[in-house]
Amino acid sequence: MSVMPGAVRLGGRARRLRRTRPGPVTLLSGGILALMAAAALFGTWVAPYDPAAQDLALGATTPGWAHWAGTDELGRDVLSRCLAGARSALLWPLVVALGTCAMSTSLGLLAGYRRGWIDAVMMRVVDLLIAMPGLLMLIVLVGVLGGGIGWAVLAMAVLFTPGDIRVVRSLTMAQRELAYAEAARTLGLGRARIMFRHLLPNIAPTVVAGALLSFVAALVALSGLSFLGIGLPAGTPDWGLMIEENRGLLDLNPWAAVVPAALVTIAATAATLLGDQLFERLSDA
Amino acid sequence: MTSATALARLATGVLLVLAAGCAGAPGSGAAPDTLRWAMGNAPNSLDIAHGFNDASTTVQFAVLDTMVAIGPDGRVVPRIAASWTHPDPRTYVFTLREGPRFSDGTPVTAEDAAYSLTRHLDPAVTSQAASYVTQVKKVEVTGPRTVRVTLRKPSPTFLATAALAWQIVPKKLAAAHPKDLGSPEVGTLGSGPFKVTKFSLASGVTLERNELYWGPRPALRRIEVKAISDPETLRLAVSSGEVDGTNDIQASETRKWSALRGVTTAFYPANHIAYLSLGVREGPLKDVHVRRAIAHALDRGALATLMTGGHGGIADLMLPKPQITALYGDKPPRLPAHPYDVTAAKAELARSAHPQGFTLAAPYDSGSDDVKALQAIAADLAAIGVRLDLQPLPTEQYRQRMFSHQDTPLQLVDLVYGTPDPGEVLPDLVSRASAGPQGFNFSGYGSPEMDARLDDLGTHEGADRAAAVTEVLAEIADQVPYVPLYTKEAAVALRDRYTGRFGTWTADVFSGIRPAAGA
Repeated sequence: MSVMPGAVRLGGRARRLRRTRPGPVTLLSGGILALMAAAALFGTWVAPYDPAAQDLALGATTPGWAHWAGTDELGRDVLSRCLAGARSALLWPLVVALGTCAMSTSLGLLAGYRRGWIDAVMMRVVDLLIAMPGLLMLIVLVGVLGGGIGWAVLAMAVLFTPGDIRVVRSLTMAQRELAYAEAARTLGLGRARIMFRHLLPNIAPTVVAGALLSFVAALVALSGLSFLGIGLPAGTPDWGLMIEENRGLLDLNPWAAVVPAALVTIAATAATLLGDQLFERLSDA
Repeated sequence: MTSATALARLATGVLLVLAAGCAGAPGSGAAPDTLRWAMGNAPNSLDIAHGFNDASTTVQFAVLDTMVAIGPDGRVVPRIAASWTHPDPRTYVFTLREGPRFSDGTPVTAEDAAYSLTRHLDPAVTSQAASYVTQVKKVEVTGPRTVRVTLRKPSPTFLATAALAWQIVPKKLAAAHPKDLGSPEVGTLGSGPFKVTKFSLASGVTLERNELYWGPRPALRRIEVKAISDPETLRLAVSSGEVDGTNDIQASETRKWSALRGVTTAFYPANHIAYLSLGVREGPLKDVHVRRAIAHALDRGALATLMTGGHGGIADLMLPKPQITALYGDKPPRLPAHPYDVTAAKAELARSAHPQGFTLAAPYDSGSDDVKALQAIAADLAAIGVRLDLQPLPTEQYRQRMFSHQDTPLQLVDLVYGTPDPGEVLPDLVSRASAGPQGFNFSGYGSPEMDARLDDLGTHEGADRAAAVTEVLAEIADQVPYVPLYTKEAAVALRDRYTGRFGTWTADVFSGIRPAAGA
């Protein structure tokens, strides 16, 4: 029985991964993201108050025993809203990252492997999309489409995809010329099988790192859209929206804006660092 | 990859905002007779026909005279017209004062005055103020200094609307530029206290004292007006001395403005009302019990405090407070009310065809301060099982949807009116003519009987008129196509180098400002 070169390499990588212990940066960033994921899943259960419960008579207050991060102008508990906000803060960027990853990997593999007119057409479209100012286009698109998180996520996935297509395509072009790919073709394996079973595992480190970077970009961009009031509807517990709603409270309860802003920063930094670490570990393996 | 670009852009944006906020006081040595003014938006036109909005009219009233004006007590007083007579219910004869000249030295004539009104009726002008002068049938020059206006039917609101919309411009200039008078390219020419020396949509407007002005000499020599769209940046600009004042202060932000050092913020009653519009033509809101349930469910006291910061109060009637005072004095009528009472709200809902509650779309302008009020309203309504689907829309899209009267079953409306007469408000709210696209009858409420009542308003005066208005208000209170929510005060913030006098009916803000003693 013949063994494909790619399969041999993957087996070795898996063994080495098991041997190498994760460094402190990986542990810290992974731990932070795990905590945030837990908050996204169970945040509404462990929140001390109903995140939507208002107390207009109370209004904005500074942190105290009753409200650890204080309250906003509508008397809502900031901590509870931050915990509940983890869901939209992480879920929608995750959808964007997975969507971007799926589209860019499929199209990048196709363009890089098939070449010819498919590659030429795809790359011109990619050039066109890359030439557009991303965040500005996003704001215009979401505005024209009538706002709403669904359109924002879709538009973001479409706008993030071209850059990643180009990366996957160039990696695929390099891999398709290697001996194991040539061998697979000689054996008569189908194109789809060669692309997804043999080439994809060898470009996986970059794809995974790219997905994490897309997650970070989507997290920041969605927070920005919410800040501009064209993402999620008012009242939704969401970190970006909280920054926008509470930025006028800097003199009354700055924590109402600072805490969600810090959470966006921490989540983005942790995901970036984890992406870097994963890329290095997968590449070295 | 995309993340680096997005982060860099965001960082740049933050730095720009910080830079704007941290700007020093460049003009601390500026002469005190030069005022640097800021507003949320730049004027888009110096002609009310094409710029009928707060930013534009603020400048227009400093540059252009009106035929009459509204005095501090809400009564109509002479301006370019030295006097007028009212020979019959449909006719007004104005006599122009002697002496007014446009800032280029040309005398203001009766021809100019007459044309300045009739142009709003000309379809070629497409005037934004046309709805204010629809009652005008004919405008004639009857002598070198007299103008006669004939109305289609008696209208007690005519003089008040003339104080707002009848801005005097030279006939020759206006006739040559029906569509672009007041634009940066054409500009305008007025006989008011100031003249325009620079106008750009991007950088704002510069005014200088009109030395030919017929009235009291303005204390300010030069005024530089610019736009600062972000409220927080605007506040920081006034605080740092980058600008000397503004009249663009959101009521809910008054606490922060009052706390500024070296800045005095003056408050006065605004001709304002915020209300909830309930679309009566379809869906659950067709049912009057549902509408009454909604009215009972709203804690309007808490809402008023939230939105006005103590500089306003609950709206009891569907009229701005100054109009109520002008009509009823300090004894407004007591009409059927729907006070905050969740039990009563649930009882009303139980009597409706939707006892279990329902969901309503509530589109809103994502750039507006109203979103805060809508969230409070949504929480109140959730308590009785009415769920609001808040739908954020960019400002332009929201305005289009609002004035198309489509898919807007429930919306928060926040309006400032220009005259002390309820005749300006009520036909807009409940006449069937206003229920179509571009009209202000957002609820769609109306009937032939109500239209007849509105028509009848103009034929009454004094106590009879008050009684006729009360009948209309009573029907609104009973049928609840609208829920009055709150009224708020207006505010002007001025650095302490200046003093100013402002009131509800102050049209020309700048003429009331002067350098403080010792500045």
